[in-house]
Amino acid sequence: MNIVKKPGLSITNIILFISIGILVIFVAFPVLLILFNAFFGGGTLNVKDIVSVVSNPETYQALLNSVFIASGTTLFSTIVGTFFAWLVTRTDLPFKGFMKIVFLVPFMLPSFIGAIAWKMLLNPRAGYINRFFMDTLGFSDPVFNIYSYLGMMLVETMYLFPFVFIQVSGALERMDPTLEESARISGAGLFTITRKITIPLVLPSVISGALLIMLYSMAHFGTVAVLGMEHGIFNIPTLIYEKIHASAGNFQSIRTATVLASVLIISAACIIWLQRKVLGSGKYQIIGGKSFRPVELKLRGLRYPLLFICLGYIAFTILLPTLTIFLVGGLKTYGLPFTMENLSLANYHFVLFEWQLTKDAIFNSVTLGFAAAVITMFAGVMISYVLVKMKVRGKGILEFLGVLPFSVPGSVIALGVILAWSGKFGINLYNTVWIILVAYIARYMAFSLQANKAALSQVHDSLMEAAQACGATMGQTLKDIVLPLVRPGMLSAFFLIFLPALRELTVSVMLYSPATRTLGVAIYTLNEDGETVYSAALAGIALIIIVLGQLFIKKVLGAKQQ
Amino acid sequence: MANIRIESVYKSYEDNHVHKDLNLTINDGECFTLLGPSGCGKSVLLRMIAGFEMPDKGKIFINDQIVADSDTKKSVPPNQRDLGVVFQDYAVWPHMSVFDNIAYPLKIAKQSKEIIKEKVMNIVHLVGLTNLEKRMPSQLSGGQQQRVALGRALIGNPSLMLLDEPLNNLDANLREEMRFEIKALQKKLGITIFFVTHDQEVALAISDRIAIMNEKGKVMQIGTPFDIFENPANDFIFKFLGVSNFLDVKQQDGKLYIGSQELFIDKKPNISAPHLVAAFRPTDVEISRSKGIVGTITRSNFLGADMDYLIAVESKIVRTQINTYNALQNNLVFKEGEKCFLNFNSISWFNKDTMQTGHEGDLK
Repeated sequence: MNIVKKPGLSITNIILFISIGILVIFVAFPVLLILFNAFFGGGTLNVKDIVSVVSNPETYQALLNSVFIASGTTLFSTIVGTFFAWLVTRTDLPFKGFMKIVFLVPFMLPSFIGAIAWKMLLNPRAGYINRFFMDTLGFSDPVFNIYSYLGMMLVETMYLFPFVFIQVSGALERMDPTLEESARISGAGLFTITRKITIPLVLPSVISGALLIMLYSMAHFGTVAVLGMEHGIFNIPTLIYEKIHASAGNFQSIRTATVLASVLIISAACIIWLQRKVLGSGKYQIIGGKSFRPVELKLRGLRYPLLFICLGYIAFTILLPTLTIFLVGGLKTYGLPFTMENLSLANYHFVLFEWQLTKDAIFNSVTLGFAAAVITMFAGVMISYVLVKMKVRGKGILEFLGVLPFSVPGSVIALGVILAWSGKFGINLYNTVWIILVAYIARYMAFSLQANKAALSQVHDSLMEAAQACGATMGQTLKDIVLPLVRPGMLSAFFLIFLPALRELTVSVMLYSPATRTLGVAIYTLNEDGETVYSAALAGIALIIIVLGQLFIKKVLGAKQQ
Repeated sequence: MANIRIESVYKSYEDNHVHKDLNLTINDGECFTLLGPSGCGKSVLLRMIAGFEMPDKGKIFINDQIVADSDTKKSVPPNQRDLGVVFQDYAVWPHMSVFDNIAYPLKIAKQSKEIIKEKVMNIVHLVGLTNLEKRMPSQLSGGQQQRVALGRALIGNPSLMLLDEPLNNLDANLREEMRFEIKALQKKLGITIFFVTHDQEVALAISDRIAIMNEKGKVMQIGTPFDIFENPANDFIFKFLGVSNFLDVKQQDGKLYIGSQELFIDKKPNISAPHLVAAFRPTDVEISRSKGIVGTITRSNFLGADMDYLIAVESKIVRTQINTYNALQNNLVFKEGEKCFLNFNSISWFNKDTMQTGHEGDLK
């Protein structure tokens, strides 16, 4: 037996330092730079300056727009999400299992691609739906103008409501039915039970889902960029983009951008805090982990009409836009009617095999997504290991830093990495592909932490202690016991990052250079430049890649779980 | 061969002082049980011996070599302490087969494939898992997983085994079987066992010596199972070892009184104090219809082999049990409300003020 000194610079401490280092460099440092620039722009705390930035009509309007659009989106999504969640869990709707999966499909469709499709359908002059009503049915005015607040709210709702749907249907499924049954035995009718028992119990989940949407929508770039910007409607992320892109390096623009980003950081922090508080409140405890079979409401004559409403909703919000993208992608010129002689696969062939710009974009997104996923997966497993398993002084700092990635929106990360990695601190990555990689790592760290923490908390401490008692060193324990057991978690982290990174827009649109376009950027800029058919063809290809990827994950992770 | 010495160990978690100035010696080759209520710090001590935790203060020796010393902050890591540990939740690795689980210590020790195979198969037979070696843990019952854990702890031929409530999650029959098997293995292999449990039956059945801890982590008594059961040092230990009755007894002029009734008993208490407490088990009471301390039956329960009575004696309630056959033969089946008389076969005496026994020196 040789005696080993424990404290000092042991492996444990080294791992802790590296973990803290990763989070500080990739997440905390950029965020701090934004806050520092916003509040101490001139070297000292300058409140007057901040007030003047915020009270500038342009900034002020963007702030208002973000809150307004987010509120509307949250309201609509909560109504739609809760209603569908209730339908698939608590009624005898036909094909419930199938419908439950169908309602998750909107998650797959990137909302900026959805927005592009809706622009093609509901542009007041050229949109296919508006034209149909005006040309064929003789309407004098377009039926709907998508370039409006309501238009943006509805488009965001279509692709965001699953946040509420997942939370609420989960809560409704896990709720102990005896709670409702005992109310029924006490003489309460279904209406009273719903009002007094069910709603109060599910409310935390509803609120939590709504808060997620609020956070996501306030920081959401794509829809507003596609539908609002050219008509002068800006929200916080689009104005940050405008400021950085229109006048890169201009002090006042950066100043405005950092103040806007600070507003996002602070509201995100508040929302996350509120969400945790709501979920942590005692009421939620009544919802156990077990799956029960709750009482189902008999819809009777409404069964099929409601099913058709659900299917119609999916057809209108998912199938119609997707079909539009694929059809427009096949057109020779945008604006031609969809007839056989106007449609071909030429555009698809062109963007896939001939055009360097789009070929590069696909290559960039795949390599960037892969690199970000691999790096973030390993970094996440290490940080999660410290968070979940290690007893070490200084872990509190890491716990605080570990929450950070969850609450920093994409546009904030993009602005932060510009401030941090544009040569001001010795390293200049601006206009290279590396700055996008750095930003992706920061953006997707939260996913990796979540998946890996969940996997690691399944590995009971005694499994590792048993290995040590068998004579294994810490390293051998990690290799033989911990890694094999968290591998499914790591794999799901990889895909949770790789797939969203493939279609990423918010971050890369602020960081790209002509040589480093990503798939999302290419689709967006082509659309902005009027290359509508190529943009649509590329979007179609992106959709195919995303769907294939999802199916692949399902297969791989499904097989792993057996 | 190994002994363990714990020298004035202190351990606390934030404000919770689990151990204060704890001293224990576990002899070479014995099966030593640490018995105490849940949350008294038994497992913490086991984890300190194993090296998963470091004492805040004090020293721990295994086989006369220091493994943890708070003065020098030195600690031998668990993998170098040469011990086998069996955990409460078995900690069988779910991704490895029975064979791989048991073989792991040998693989770490870089033994050859042939030796590993031979040794593992020996252990597999020893713990009764023959033909199950290719199974995955998810295909095993709790008892079988328990055996895997035991086999894995044994295969490295450790001189010391630490067992943390290993029988808790087993059903009653299996628990009984496993406790004799562990005892038999220990005798056969001559290893030192440090066993932690809150189950007094297991502790009494398996141990060479038992240390009883109270909920504050203080060791109340150390001794052989027989010694502890017959001469418990205080009322806590008495209560902990089984169903207990307590009656206040007054001592005056060499006579004993329960309330106003005189108690006649062969073995007088060796405590001179005037106020005593008589402690006894339900089976230590002899119930009759003629003479003894008067009581009234308040509840009569038929339990099959035994009759169970609750008897009011001088405003206290006493629980007794009598063999049903015996009761039928001797007309001792009582109804509720009936009068009865009690005599006592064996009484443990405590001083009422201290709740300790008279004879000192139980606390080694």
